[in-house]
Amino acid sequence: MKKALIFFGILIPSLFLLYFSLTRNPRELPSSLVNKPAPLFELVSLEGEKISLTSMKGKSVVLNFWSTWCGPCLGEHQLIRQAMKASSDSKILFYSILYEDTPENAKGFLAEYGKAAPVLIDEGLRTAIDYGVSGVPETFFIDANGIILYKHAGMLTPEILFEKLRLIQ
Amino acid sequence: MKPILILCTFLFVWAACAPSPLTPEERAEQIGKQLRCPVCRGVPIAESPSALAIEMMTIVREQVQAGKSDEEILKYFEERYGEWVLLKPKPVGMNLMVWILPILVFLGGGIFIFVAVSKKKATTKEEL
Repeated sequence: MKKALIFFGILIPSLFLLYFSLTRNPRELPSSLVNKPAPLFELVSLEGEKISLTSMKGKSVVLNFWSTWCGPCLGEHQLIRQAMKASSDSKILFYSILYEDTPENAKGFLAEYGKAAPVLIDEGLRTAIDYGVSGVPETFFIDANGIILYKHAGMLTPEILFEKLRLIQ
Repeated sequence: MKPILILCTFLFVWAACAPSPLTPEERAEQIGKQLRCPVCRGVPIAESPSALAIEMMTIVREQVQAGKSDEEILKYFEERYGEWVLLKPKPVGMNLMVWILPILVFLGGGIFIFVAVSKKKATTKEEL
């Protein structure tokens, strides 16, 4: 009886810890910003236009943090171009925020691979820090009320992108 | 006269031993050592050469200068990056295991050794 008690006393907490660790995705870092208002920003585009989040009020927004030196961002660039074409009638706005890169590099990249979403320059990385960005690519899906409904770290797949676009539509 | 002299000596020694208040830069460094660099592995932002960590340190310095408390500055980053950004996890929820588990293992091991040794002694005595 005593031995069985000790056995189960060790087994049950161990199984609980095992279950807890196995049911979590070690690659996934949940964003503390999900279901919270998107941090406001005012950035300048590659064309020199001032663009702020408040000016997008009432519209859903896809914010993609990217760099020209990031391999997966190239694949994502083409995917975002497709998504923009597919949702040209909807009220979804797409913006790409340049992360740790220069406007010259971005212009060269767009000249080579084609234009997609307007590129915003985040000098001093303040917007990246406000969004808790820890690498590129990272994409935020913001609904028309300005609430972040989903954050995707890493390269988007067509399935995830189109599913999340439906979510914020 | 003597008690006053003792009191003065005590106050002098206490003042000499008390840690001097930190300069704003020292405070910023201390806070930066508690924040994980988001693009490095287990390195605090105070020790990381990455552009993101350098910018985060700039924010820490700005907030120190603005008179924010350590807790307010840590909370600022926690709100953006989540609790993960804190190098020392908060003692709440599952994090408590980090503190409790070693104590439980230590106590359990101690009890196990004590019981095993007592049993062995009792058996040896009976045999004799």
